[in-house]
Amino acid sequence: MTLSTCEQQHRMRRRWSNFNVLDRTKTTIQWEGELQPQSQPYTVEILHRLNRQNRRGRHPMPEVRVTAPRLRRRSSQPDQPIPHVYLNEHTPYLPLLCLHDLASDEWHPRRSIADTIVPWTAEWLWRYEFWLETGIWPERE
Amino acid sequence: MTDYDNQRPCPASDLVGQGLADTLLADVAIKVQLGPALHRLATERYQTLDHWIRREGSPLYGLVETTYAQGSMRIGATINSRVTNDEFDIDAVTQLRLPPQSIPRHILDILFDAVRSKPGSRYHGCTRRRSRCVTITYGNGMHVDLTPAILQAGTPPRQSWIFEHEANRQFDAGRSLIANPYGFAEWFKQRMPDDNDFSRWFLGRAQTYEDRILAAEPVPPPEPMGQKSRVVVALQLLKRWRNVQYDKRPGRRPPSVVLSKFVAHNAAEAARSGPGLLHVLLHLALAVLADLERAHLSRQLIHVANPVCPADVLTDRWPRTLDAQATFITDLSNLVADLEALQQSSSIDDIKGILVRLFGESAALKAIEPHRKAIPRGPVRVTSTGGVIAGTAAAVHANGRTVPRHTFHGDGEDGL
Repeated sequence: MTLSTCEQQHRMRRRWSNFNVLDRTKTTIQWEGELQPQSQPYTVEILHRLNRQNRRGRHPMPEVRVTAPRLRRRSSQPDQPIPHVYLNEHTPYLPLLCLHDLASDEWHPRRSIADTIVPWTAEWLWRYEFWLETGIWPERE
Repeated sequence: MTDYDNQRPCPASDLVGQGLADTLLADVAIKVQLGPALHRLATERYQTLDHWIRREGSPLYGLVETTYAQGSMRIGATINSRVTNDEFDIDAVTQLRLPPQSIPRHILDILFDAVRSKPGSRYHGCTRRRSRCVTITYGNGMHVDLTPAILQAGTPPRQSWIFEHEANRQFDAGRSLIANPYGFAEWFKQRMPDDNDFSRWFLGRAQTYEDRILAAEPVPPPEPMGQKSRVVVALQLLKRWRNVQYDKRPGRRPPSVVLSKFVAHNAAEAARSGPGLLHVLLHLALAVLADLERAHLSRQLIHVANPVCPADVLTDRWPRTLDAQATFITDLSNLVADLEALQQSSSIDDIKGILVRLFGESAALKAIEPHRKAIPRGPVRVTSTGGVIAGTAAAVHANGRTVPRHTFHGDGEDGL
């Protein structure tokens, strides 16, 4: 069963005390929080809309963007886009993180954002730092 | 914080404008090239050969003017000649004081006899008479190809007659050809752009590798290697790639001197094409492809001559047919596609696949493994502040929670 915004916030507060609600309605919830995977803290926004299908017509999925510091391409390879993001049509300078395979059931509205999307974001940022330094996006296996 | 701090990977490059692919390409070149120690050994060998054929009792006693390096050895672009082991072909010219109208077969036979000498002498069992040179094979896989030449009077420096004769055609006198490999090498070197930052960076990287080799094998201490621009390293990569493509094919492969001519002709533009080695290599591959396609479209075989000696036709033995030319055009098209894919790759596995395809497993894996070992793998844990614990530490760490499995997806459009 889909978790309500209230249930999502309850779980978020329990696990991530540094994530605050920016906006909440019955169908929408938005958080802002800070994650420090390794070298520096990042400010992250998560927007979850229960009544919106994703681009593949499947269940809604949270949108995650990093607001500070802004994500950037590698200075030595300015033509190479940041891996594992997709275009943010409203604010193109804040690309959305692609944290899971949209075609799979890795994420579903009945799963807790606090237990999936947030740790995945921390892991994404950690891999992003590695990529910035080396040019390699380290896969898990 | 992770436990990974003390094992950060070697950065992609500390040279501005170089990315991971550029660094890996440079590392492939370092793994296949003749390093400073072997370069010195090769020089000693052809100099020793020069003394040997001048000796009293040699059929060439009193007839040898000089012996000098030619080809890749002279322009600093020697790479190993085999795909799976470290064999090096060293090219040298031995300039003889003989009448220019000498019979080609005799010239080659005299040089062969002078080098091989009597049974039991040092080169007797390892000398082979070939159609334009005499090849001496050494124990560590090094070959020296010694080409006899006679100076052409009244021509540019070291323009010479060289000779061709198949050893098994006893009743054929062979033929004389005009060549100036020395002039070609000087022309090549003059066209190389200054690339000091890259040269210093590449030399440092090559020296580190050489130090490891020297620690393992007793060879003479190295001398400083010459300046090496991105263009010269790109030429070495092109030659290595060509060797891989032709490794199991019958027939002749595109000669190194032809590739060198294309590369030198396009050197200035290639050096301006972008900051990285990959840019330069891609530019050169496209330039060679364009020239070959132009000839092929008009059903002509490509004609490449020595720019300082137009009678010295560098394509006289390849390509002999349009089919041979078409094969290389297809190879070059694939090379361009792979290099373009390399520009877009951020996955080490994708990069590895491309490098293996282009430069062979042995060279590609030697170059890529140090980078690959530095990549964290395995489970990931996240602490309450978002700190990431990865790799083996994640399996034993009490802090944080294991991150559920997922797949990072999406690629290509960041909007930046």
